[in-house]
Amino acid sequence: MTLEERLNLVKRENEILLNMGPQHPSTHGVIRFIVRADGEIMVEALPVVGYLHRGIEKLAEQTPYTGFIPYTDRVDYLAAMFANHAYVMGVEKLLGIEVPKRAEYLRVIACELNRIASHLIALGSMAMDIGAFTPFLHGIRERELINDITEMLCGARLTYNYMRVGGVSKDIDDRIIKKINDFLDRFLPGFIDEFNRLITNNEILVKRCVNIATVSADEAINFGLVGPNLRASGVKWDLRKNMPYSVYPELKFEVPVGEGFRGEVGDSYDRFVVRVKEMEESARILKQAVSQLPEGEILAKVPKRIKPPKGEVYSAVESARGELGYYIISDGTENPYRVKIRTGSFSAMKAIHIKSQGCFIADLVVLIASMDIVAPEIDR
Amino acid sequence: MNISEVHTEVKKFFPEKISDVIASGPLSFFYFEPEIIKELFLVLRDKIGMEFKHLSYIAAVDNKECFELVYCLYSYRWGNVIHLKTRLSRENPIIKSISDLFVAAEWHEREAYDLMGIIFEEHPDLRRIMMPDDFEGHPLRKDFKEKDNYHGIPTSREKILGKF
Repeated sequence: MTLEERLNLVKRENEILLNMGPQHPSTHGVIRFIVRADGEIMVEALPVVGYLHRGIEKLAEQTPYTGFIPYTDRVDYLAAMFANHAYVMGVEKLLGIEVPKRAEYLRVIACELNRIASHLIALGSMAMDIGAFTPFLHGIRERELINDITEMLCGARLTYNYMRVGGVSKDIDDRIIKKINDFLDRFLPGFIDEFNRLITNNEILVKRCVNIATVSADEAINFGLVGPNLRASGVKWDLRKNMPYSVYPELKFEVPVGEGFRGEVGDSYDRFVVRVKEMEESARILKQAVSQLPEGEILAKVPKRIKPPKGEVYSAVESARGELGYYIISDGTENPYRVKIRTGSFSAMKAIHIKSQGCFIADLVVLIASMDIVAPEIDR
Repeated sequence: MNISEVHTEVKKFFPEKISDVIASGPLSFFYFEPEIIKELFLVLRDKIGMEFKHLSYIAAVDNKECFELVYCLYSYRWGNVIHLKTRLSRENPIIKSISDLFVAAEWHEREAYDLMGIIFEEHPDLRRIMMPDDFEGHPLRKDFKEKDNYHGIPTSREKILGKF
């Protein structure tokens, strides 16, 4: 069945078809929505994806284990550290390598910085989709400081390729630690307060988001939502707490969940506020991680040619967009036999399709932005 | 409840149709016969004590002799994750869809259909998802050969380095 046949099959007489994308500023990448609307109310917004399909899973089968790490950056360009982390963790599990403590701390520092950067873009662009331009610039300004730090850390601002099998590529020095501490000093509570005054408690944003596209806890679990989207619906599930990896058990932090801050539990506003609160928690984790950073090696002893024994592994991390996992099959050669990447945005798209039914057309951008989808993560 | 406890529990319902627990490297899983998929997943989802209500992903694997489907389920209530597998024949890879039990399955099944060519019966909307509608073949299969042109556009480049 093709797309046209699918549309002809269900279209009723008084409905209009409206095309949104693939090139549209509010779809956050190259995604197309075909909106079937009855007046102002959507019957459905049918997502059409695949415009950014690069076949990363097929590329993995033709690339050595270490050579695949730069490709993982391209899975999610706003939070590339997590894609790095999940992949190298999987290969380490296959090989049975113990990662040095210092490297684990550096990974956590890099990931949490990246989480703040990703959430800043998510929140800023959500506000921009609603019509407020300024918060986006405030978010970009802070993210620029994080980009500076990651540039000092690994030489790249966006696609990091920072992690290695068995550790990380570069060590941190006092100059970078000072920069991180300076950033944290201005970020918490200064920037968060400013951001909350500027937009989180802004009456227009609240009115646009409250009770829009409410996802209940049962629905969220069944739709396969993960990460902040799931927690906004009131499900307290965070891989960092529930299935701890790396050094997260040694760090103290809370898992913010949606409480119906202004409306129902699990509406678009809850998804917004949960992300703001997660940024605060990330800043707290960073403070502890930087102060507890142990001395030692940053790379374990790893053979030059990585040839894991036959076996399978699933390794997942809590990325900025929820669970990001790699299912890797090794057949004992230098290349993986099969790599499947499980991402948060992919499952969120189905939720958008269902939740758009019965919404106003104008609320579609709020729904898309509040789910924080990133196009390359859907298509891979 | 870990994988072996789930296995003994499920074995009571389907004694003949379930393999033993297999450990392959760090991951443990068991095989089930494709015809019991609906009943099995209903038990896993709704039985008190298991409550695997979240389907994380479905991975299709081309094993050269057969296709394998890997299902990963989470139980948020009990904090568990399990992996299940089933085998499908290469000539006739058909299995029942579980998208009425898990909404999340719908898109994962579309992806498995698009990239690996597995047919899901009773699926509400089985279309290609990543590749264009007129694409021929299923690219993640191990025996997939890329066509030399797509609508008259060549898919390979002239080798320029050899010329100089």
